[in-house]
Amino acid sequence: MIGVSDTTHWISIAAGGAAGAVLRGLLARAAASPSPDRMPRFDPALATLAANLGACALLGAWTAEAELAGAAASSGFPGALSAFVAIGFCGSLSTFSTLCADAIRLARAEPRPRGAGRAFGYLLAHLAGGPLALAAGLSSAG
Amino acid sequence: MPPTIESMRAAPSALPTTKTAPIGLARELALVAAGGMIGALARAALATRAATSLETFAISTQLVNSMGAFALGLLLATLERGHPRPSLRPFLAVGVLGSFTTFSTLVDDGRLLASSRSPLVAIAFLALSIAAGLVAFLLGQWLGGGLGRGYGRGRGGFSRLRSHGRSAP
Repeated sequence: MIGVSDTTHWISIAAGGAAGAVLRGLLARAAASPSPDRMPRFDPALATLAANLGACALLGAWTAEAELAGAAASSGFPGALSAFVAIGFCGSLSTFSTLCADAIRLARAEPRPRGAGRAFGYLLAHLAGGPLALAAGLSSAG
Repeated sequence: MPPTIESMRAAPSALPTTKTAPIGLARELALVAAGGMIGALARAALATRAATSLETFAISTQLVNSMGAFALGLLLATLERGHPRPSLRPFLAVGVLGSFTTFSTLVDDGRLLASSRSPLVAIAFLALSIAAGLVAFLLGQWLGGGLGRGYGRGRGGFSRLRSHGRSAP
């Protein structure tokens, strides 16, 4: 594990966290922006799903690249870069709290069988899509 | 039928579109960035601490995620009840709590679990993890007094204390 007292490590996490959060915020904003007929373009839950699956794919690709680089991680910089990408950016681009909020909102937005079905499908998309996206990222490198 | 903007406003959401007046894009993104910085740092600090003391990677992510889901439920229910400053949602809901919690690390924990145990254990872990998050979110929302809204039921948690004249924590 990376040294806790390393200032560069924490700065990298903060910078990656800011960047990931901003991208996620932009995705949510783009999905929710109303079209002329006052309907949202996409349900904002889809923006959360896209951010989460994208973060998994990127984390997979990064992990594979980092394993390929292997011994190159002996200098200080790759550790900080890894903290930026894996912990900061991917960690913050993806979210768990909003995923829970979206699922509950979907379940309540419509009468029970339909709303619950939508919420279940949304959660299933995460449950299946997350590992698949990670695997796709892992196999993309090299 | 897809939900309308109005139906989204009616239900608590982590999104900046709900209820409050829109703030400028630059200001909103600055708030999200600042919150994201804090959330990511807090997550890393807690995860490192939990991982070294518990020696179990999966528990630390789970802990952080459940805490964040609980806090978001509490926050959204509270925001729904009043007339919050428009900066609170992008800063706290999207920024701090959105970044504090993570899905990619959770799935990566599942990958490690799949290789050390079995893929079935990993999927069960992810499913249980999400279920725990939903329960934590609902608990937070109930404590925030949001559950009564639109369901014709009495308000729960702290709001009940408040209605009896005691101050909320």
